[in-house]
Amino acid sequence: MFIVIDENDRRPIYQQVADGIRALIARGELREGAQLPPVRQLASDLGVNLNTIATAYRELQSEGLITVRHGSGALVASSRSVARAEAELRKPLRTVLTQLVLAGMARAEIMGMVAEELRALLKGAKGGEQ
Amino acid sequence: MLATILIWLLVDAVVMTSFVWMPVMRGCEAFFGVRVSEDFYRTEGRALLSRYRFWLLMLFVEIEAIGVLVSLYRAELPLARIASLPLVVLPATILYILFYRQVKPFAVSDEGRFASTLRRRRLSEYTNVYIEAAVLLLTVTPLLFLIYYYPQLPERIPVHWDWMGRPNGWARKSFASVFFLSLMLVYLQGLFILVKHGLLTVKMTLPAERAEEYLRGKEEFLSTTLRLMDWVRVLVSLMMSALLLNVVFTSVEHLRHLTVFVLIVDAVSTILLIASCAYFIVRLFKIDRKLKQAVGRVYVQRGRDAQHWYAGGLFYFNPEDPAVFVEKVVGFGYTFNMANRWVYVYLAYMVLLPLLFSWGMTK
Repeated sequence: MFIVIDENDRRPIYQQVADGIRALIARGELREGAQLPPVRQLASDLGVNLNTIATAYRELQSEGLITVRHGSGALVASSRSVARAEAELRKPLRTVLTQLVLAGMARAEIMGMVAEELRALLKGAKGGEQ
Repeated sequence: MLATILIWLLVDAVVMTSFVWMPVMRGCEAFFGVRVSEDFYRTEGRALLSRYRFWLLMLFVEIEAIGVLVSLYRAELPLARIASLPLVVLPATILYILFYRQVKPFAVSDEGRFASTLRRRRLSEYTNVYIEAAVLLLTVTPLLFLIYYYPQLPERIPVHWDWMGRPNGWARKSFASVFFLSLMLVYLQGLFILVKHGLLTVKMTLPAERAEEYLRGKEEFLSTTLRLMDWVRVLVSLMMSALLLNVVFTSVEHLRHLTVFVLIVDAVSTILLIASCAYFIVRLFKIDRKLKQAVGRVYVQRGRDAQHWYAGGLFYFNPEDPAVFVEKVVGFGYTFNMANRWVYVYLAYMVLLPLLFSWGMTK
């Protein structure tokens, strides 16, 4: 169970941490009830400010994915984030698709890429349940 | 006289050997504490290294010659040999820093991707109940024993013994002179627990590729280090509690025959201490080599952290890094992030030792 941080990535580090944990939950590697390291340990391992990790945890908490307890780290609360309006969920999808179209990819290529990524994600989730 | 000279020569030789290997212990990941290209490391780096080692050898020969001469002709200066240790370390450090400055322009940056594990390290996973129980027993029993026998102790109590267990240092009976060693033992236990607890949160930067294998190697290294600390803790407790009991055994007539046990226990635990240190150090080297073979690298750090190492990787000062303990960039094991306020709690505790010592001596 690892999260990868890229210093050359344009996303801020707290976002990379939150995304990393989200992906692990979606793939089923982090299940409900699993413990996340305390803010201090994760911050120390990554060499980033405590607030960076706390922000990532807060974001995940507001999505209902984890619960943060004072002094004893965080728990994965659910593998489903709180229901959001469909329109809201579509927004990031549209952004990514726009990027792919602008990159000059053909429709079939984009469909193939999406299917591949989705398969990898769901396969991980299924594998986690076995 | 000769024995003293030989012991000091040995100590100096160990210090010098560590200086010989320090620049290359992490390979090209930290050549003189600087990340350099594989190419530079193999060609120009080699030449630089031989020059460094040549000057180190010269330095060593010269200082040892002075040291031996002084101890032979001015035997009334016992401190001369002790002073030679910093005399070895200081110029060697300066030499090391001079060469580090030559390597510094060839630094290359890391790719900037690194990983972190989401596994929690818990103190309980690194704690052996039997060892804790043994340490507690060894700390408390002699203390109770001393309290019980305190009224029976004579006015003049032994505080130091020779190799054969015959007392050769005495002190007037007082609370301090009787319980000093006991307090030292409690103090040492506190120090060990503090360091062990700190090491659990040691910063672990993992490579983005093959993170799992790398982590396994590093976790093994950490747990072996902590096990070594546990062993040292037990053996030191054993040694010191035997000495504590010896205060009573030598002073109280009907217990005098027990001093022979103290002698045996101290001899055995000293031998075990040296043996287990050697054993664990060999194991740590093996883990390091195994990691090198499996993953191809034994050291990873964020590109941004590299600039926070000073004096060729001898000191780490990074105010933006919340870690207290980090892996050493040169050499082996762990060191402090001097920018963390908690470090000064550790250092304050360590300074307490000599203070306690001097207090015990004056009483």
